[in-house]
Amino acid sequence: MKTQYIRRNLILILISVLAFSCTKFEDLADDPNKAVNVPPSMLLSEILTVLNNIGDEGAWEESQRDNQFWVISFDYYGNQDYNWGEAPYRYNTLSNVLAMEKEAQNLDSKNKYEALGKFFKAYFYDYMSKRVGNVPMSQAMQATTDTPITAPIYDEQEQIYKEILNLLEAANDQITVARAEVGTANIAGDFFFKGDLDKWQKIINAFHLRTLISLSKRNNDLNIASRFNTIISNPAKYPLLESIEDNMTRYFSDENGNNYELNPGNYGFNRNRNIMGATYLDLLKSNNDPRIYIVADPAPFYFNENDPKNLDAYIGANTGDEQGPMQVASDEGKFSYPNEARYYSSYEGEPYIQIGYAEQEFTIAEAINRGWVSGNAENHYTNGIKASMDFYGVSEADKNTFLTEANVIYKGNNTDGLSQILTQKYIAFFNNSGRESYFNYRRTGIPAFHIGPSNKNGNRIPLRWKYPQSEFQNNKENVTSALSSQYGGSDDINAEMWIIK
Amino acid sequence: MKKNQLTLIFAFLAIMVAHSQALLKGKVLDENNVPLGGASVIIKGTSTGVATDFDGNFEITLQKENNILLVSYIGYLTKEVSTNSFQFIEIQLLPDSEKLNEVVVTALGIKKEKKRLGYSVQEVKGDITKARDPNVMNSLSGKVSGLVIASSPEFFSSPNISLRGKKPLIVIDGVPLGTDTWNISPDDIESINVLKGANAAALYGSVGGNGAIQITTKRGTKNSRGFSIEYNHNSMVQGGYNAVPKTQNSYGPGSYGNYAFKDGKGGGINDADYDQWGPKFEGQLITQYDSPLDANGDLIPTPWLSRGPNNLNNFMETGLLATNNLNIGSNFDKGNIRFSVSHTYQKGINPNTKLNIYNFNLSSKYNFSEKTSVDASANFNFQTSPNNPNVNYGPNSYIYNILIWGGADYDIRDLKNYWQEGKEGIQQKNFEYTRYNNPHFMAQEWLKGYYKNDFMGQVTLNHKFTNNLDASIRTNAAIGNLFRDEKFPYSMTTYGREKAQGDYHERYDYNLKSYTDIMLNYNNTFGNIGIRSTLGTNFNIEKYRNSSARTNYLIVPGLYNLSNTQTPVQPTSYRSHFETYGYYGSIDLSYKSFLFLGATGRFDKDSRLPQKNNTYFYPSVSLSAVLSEVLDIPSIDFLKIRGSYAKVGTSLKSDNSKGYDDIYTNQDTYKLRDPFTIDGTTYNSAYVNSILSNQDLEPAFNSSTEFGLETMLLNNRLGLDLTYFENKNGPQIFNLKYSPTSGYDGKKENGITTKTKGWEIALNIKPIRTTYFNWDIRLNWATYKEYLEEVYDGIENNGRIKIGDRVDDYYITDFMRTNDGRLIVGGDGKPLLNSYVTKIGNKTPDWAAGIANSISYKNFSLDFSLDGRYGGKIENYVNRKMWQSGRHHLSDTPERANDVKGIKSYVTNGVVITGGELTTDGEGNVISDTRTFTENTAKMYFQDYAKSYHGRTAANIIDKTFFKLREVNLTYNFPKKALENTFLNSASISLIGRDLLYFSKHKNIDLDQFIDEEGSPLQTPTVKSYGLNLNFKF
Repeated sequence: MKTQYIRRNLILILISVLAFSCTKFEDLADDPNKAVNVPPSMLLSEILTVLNNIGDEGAWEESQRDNQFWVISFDYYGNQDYNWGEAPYRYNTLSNVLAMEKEAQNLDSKNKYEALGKFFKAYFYDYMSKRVGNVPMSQAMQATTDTPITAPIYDEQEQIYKEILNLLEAANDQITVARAEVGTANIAGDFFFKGDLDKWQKIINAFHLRTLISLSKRNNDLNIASRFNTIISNPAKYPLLESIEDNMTRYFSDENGNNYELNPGNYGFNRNRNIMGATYLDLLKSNNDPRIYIVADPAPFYFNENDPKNLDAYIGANTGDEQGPMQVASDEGKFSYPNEARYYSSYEGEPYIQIGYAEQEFTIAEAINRGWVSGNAENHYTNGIKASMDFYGVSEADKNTFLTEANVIYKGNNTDGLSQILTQKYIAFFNNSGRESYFNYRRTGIPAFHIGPSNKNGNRIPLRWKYPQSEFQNNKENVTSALSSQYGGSDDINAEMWIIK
Repeated sequence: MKKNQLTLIFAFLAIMVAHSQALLKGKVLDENNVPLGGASVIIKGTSTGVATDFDGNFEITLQKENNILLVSYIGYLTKEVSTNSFQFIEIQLLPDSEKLNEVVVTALGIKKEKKRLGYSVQEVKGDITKARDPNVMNSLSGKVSGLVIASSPEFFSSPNISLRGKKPLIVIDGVPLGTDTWNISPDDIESINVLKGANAAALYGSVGGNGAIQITTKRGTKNSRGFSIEYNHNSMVQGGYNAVPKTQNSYGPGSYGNYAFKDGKGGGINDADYDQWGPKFEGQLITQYDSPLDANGDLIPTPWLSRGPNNLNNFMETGLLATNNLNIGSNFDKGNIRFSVSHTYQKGINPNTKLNIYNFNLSSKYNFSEKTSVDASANFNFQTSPNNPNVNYGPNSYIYNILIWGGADYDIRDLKNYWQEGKEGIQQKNFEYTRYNNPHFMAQEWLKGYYKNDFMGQVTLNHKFTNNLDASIRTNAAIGNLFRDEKFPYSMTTYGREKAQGDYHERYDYNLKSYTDIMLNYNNTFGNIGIRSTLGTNFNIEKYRNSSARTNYLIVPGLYNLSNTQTPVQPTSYRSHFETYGYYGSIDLSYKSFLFLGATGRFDKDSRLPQKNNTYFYPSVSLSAVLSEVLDIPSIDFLKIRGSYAKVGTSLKSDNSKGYDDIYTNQDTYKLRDPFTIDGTTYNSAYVNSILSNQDLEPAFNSSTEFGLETMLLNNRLGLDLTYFENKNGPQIFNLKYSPTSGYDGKKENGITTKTKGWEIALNIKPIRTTYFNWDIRLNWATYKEYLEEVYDGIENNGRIKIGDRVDDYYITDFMRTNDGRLIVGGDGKPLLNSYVTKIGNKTPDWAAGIANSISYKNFSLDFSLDGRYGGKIENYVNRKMWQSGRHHLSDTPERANDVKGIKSYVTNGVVITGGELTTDGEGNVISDTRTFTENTAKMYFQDYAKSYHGRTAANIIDKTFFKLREVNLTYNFPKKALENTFLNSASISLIGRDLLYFSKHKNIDLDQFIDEEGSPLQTPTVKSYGLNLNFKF
């Protein structure tokens, strides 16, 4: 009777409830949306994107303003006041490097991923250390070990660079093994070389040279000259870049997520605000450099149609000048802007050189100039200039004319010659290779950077960045002791770190 | 109804007939001998009855000599009076102390007398259907102490609801299925109760840890006719801004006074992506967007004038809110039934915006027998809006386009025909062609649709085994489907879509929630001891899925279809499913009507937690004593003290950074990035989750301790409810921060305990209580502060917040100042900023308060309420942006007039560094400061000063203090007499208003929307609503 009726109801209701649930309770904890394993190629793409770092260090980005290649007059979109804050750490990316190695463990071709892994470790430790000084390395990346280290100690910069150089040595060895194993079989996910291991090996060694030259002030501590010589003198073991074809290059296109920084879509945002930097433009002007016509437009106010090549119409803005008057002058047409045809007319713009042949040649020229290695510095110097001009498509005739300019002809293995090498290297770095031109300036003082009233760092170009604030919250003891051992306890952006002392 | 009506007619007839043998006259008085109007006088055992008039007088015709009259009045004891003569009688009623024990709905829908409760519960008083808001939650503002409703002026944006600083659960009819707060009609709401802490809501399980807002829906009622029909109409006009930014209209677009239009794409002088620091409007000739062309096709300069100082007013429209509800109810011996249909229509103040909400609600109860009944209800809700604009900062916002970055150089009415001639469907006509959009074009062509169907159903089976033992099974399901789309036309631009070739985006969301309880209740009394107890179990299932796809620019303009994409874009999807099982019990013991002890306990099993720790227990206990039952204190009618403790376990926090709740946060998985394509190859990046998972993770716990005092004084003229609480939030499940140099940013751990301490006062005052005139004042006031108490073994800080600090400390990059507070400026006169952040205050308001008044005089009643908050810091973002753009109304200074002449004349009041050095440690603490200063004399453009000072966060930190005249409602209830010969049983007409006045120092931002936020987005200007409400009962 009634109770039966109730029971029937109860059962009906329960059935209707259970109908909503058909997964086992224990299985509900698993995430149906994310992957537990991925192919190493997906991690490689991530690592390369971070390494490429187009958004911060690519062409026409803030870093290239700090390099004094261009100047922004519109304070709403930025400035060049050199009041630098904290440097980015790359340990999360190093976790992705370790994950890539782990995911490649069971593949027959793990050597090629591991060789690249070693290169990436060297690349990112160098990236971080040259920005701040000491960083954790010996105890870093150990959050997941059996005895996890969650607040690693900071290692001396000298130790870090020793380890970086070891990693680069080992990377070259292992990529040689990988090449023998699988030939030049592609690595997937590689947008620089489409997996070409030959090219990767050259890049590893070119980067090795970049690192060595950056330690020029520590030649004695780290045997830089002899290490340099080892690489230069054994091209079979240490293949190097042979032309701009070997450049590590990012190409842009009218494709999803791959547009050049300046393009027809943002002409209106940038045109009268992105001004050619005087530091760079004046160097081109002083040697009648044909690259000036390719990279810059003349200032409309000074342009004379009957004398279109007159360099007097090429006016860069001084990095240190006040932005307000600069904008006024820009509105009056008194500045040179980036070449409209080259930089604003398409979504391809120009390719971005991450590590290039020109840089390598100037680096070798410098090493010869310094007497570290034997060889003809002028040849490498000229190779560097030509490589850069080829990048811009300068005609053979113009190239040759340029090479006969009085101040371009190599002045020999002396400080004048060194200055020429470094100046041409700076010019070749235009809007390329991240902050390398700043690091070369920091090490050598060449070329002279402009400082003026808009400088908010006591009229100085800083020598470093600060440690991330999160370290003072999560690793205070170690980062504080790193500050006192290096910079007298202050996180001073004008303090000298070991590699440039 | 008929019966009553007849009785009334009869009674009136009886008055007209001169003294009759059968007529009894009398008067009803209260305990103070004040006449009670509207008291009911019924002859016992009959349906004959009358109501007293305003002077408490009544006349009733008696059938025989010996009658017993039942005299009753709300809040008073019903009195039986024998009549053995027809002499005039005076009947005095006494207040019913039992009536003080109002019955409230507690957790799981269990009804309890309020006096028994050892925790804080507050009922929402006052009518929520008259001065209404389309979102019923907004009607709670200021009405409950400790509850803050931060209402959003945007369609389908749910208000930000905070109860004691945390987001409470919303419960409908005892079931925590939640609501988007738009899918419930205020007309279907019987009552709203707020259970303020974990103590009250512990039985809901983990979701009740922050208290609950409980909505009880209406059930069928009847009148004498056997059924009731009610119709309510409400219309309100919305207009007249409470908060809107003011502009200067003396200067137009450009920079440093320079502007000339050529193509609006950067070809002229500052004619693209411009500021409003351009030339002064002086009639000078300048090429403009609508200048005519000469024979060569060049623009002919036209006079530069302030053509559109009222562009916003000329663009925005008057809003309209209209709601209709019809409901039919009945109540019969076998049960009850109620059907209600509501329609809400809102025309927004933004052009071409509207929303419609249709709500159908059916509820019924059927008694199989005296012992067994079934109760069921179903609700269907359909929300639709063809265009629901996006107000986030950017080219999508009208405020951005009209007030901040758009100027007065054009008249918006000239842009109504928004297509360029010959380029219809492809190219908008505008005053600029790079960053900004024609507002009319946006309103008519950039359409963001919102379509939502919600179904809710509930069925409950009750059975009484004996008078002491009953059981119920209740199951509920709620299913929601939401479809949103966005049509983005050719030539429209926004951030990241600078190619301006149109786009289309679709997103589907589906969710299912099922919630089932089985409960066994045992109630009994043994002498002075009473027992009420419940045992129950609960199954909760929640599922969610979404999918979202978009185009990467359109091939064919105007065809809004996902396949019409220039290059393919990967769609995204997400799904989740979790279940919790709960087993709970509660017991309430009472000793006489004096002492009450309650306890609850609950086991939960939660699929979101690691298996080994996914079952957990938590208890609560409460004690209350009605002291006035044992002590006779003069002028105190009622005095109760209470105290309670509760602990509630909760699961993992979900991550809602992507617009949905990601419940799978404790997993070592890879995340994927948006793909990119180079040279025909698409690259998909994956990266490691930077927070490590933890399979030893235990549930999080909140515990809450609360003490309160409730009293009624001076013949119930003054009621006070005072509460002090301490909520311990934790140990929580949190991301223990590692140094990122360890390779990971941290790990899921149990830790971090914060403590929220607060006071709440609810005061109820009845200053005037006479026959004709009554006045009730309800005042609510609350304050709380949350402190960091513990973090983790050996760790003393959570980010910048250290143990003992308030968790809402607000840090910003401040201006660099000298020791005596002067600005330090650089060589260019621009203020310098500190290299480190410093604390400038706290984000949470110091207190929140509301005051509501109900005044009635005869057939009129007036309700009005005022509420707001005091203190708490926020960045006034729109103010900052107005300064940056040059549109701020205070930017029209004498120095600015010099800017446009090319003269630098502004000198920042500050000093410049002449030497020395400031040395700080890594956290900004000063090690040494040898700097020397001299007065700044550098002349600069006012534009540069405005942007570098007023355009910084540090110059725009304001207090969140504001008050609003929230509701005003003047109602006239038609007297019964007037309706006698109509089909109406009762009728009322109300003049209503909402948000009529806004009191704040800052009239360019409506601070109502914020609670503990540190930043403020742009908002649609907030408006006043006023209108009419009509209510008829048939």
